[in-house]
Amino acid sequence: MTVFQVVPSDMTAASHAVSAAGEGARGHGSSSHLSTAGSAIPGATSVGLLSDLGTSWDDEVDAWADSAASYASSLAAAGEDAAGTDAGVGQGFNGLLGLLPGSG
Amino acid sequence: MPVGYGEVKSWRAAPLGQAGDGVRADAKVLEESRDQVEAQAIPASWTGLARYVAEFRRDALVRSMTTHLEGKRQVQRALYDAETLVTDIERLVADVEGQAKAGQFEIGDDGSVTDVSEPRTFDSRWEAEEHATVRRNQAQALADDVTAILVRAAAADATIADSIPSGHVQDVDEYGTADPDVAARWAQLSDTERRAVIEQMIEELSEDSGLEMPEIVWEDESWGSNGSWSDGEPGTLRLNEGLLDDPRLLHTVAHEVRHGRQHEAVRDENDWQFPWESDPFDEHRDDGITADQANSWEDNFENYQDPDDPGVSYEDYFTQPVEDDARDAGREYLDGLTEAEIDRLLEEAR
Repeated sequence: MTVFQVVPSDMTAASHAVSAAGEGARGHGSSSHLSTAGSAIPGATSVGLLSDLGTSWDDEVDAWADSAASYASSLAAAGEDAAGTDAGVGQGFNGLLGLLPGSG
Repeated sequence: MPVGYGEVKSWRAAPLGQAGDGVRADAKVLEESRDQVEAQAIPASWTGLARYVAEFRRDALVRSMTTHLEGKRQVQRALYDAETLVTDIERLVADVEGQAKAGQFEIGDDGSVTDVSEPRTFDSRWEAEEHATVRRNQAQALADDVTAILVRAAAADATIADSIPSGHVQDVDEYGTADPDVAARWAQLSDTERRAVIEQMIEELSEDSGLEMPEIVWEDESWGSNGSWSDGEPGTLRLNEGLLDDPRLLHTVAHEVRHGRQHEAVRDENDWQFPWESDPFDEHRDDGITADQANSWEDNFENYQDPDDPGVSYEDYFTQPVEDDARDAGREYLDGLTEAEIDRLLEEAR
């Protein structure tokens, strides 16, 4: 038997926190800083490597932020599902003996 | 290719420090994001099976950002180290240029030193020769200073390249990078010494691989390749002498000798013996080469994807088993090479 507990307001708060963390990460891949470094040492082998690294880091941070956003959405959906299921079951019991608004 | 003096004299330290600061600031923001996910992604009130799935996803997010941050810190440290080296370079360039100007010399972009003083007349031949000797010594001292600058430049460049975390830059992942001390030592050596190190390296790698010492052919720098192996008894290893100043050539050497070993392993795998005879493939097996691998190399050699052939893409060439394996050998050699090993090879060669 599975026992579970979901507090929808806690799920919403967690979802917002993760979403904010992901959005906060965007734009911090550092490609512009690596480009600055490359401009200081023209002709060096590492200039091209820094450029490639910057592109890869930017992509990686964006992908991380996307994953965080997806996680946040899943979290919010889980909270809403639980609340919706609870309300639906309540309706199924004939509005919890008439206690839920609109029942009866 | 190692950078020339003409470019090094325009190098600036300050932007490297600024870049290091910028990467550090980005890392701080990302660390906060990661910590926020770690602390708040799972509500304490949440229980049940779904929570475990969520924990798995949260942990993956935290782990991937932690790896990213480790890479950022590595690069940040390298940028600061390079800043210190380039600060030295800026000072040394100013010094050497000042000395050159004061002594009526010019330093070319290739690092060569030219006497640009007005021709003088002398009362005696002895005086003329004495003057020429002094000027020659002054020019040599300036040339030595330029070499010292280029050694620092090689170290600064390699410091940054060596800090690039794996999984981001194909060139680094596939070919490896020279340690900064190796790059600096390589920049100090003359071409004659570099050849000696490489030829000693070939001798030792060949012996370790059960190969006869190959014939070494140094091709002109206009040759369109870094190196090549032609199978035979002995094999022939061709190298581009125009790349002697680049420590990446050491990857090429290990890479090409590995092709020799692949051929040898194929031969030994196909060798037939009586049960009481020793199996020549054992030495390859002892070094981790399997019979399946040797068989796949044999198939590959029979259907080698030469990028010069029409219809063969660079990708076809790059991804075939024998090239993949040879790149692994070259990368492992270059990544593991130390300054002490270069000195040992040089000493052995003498």
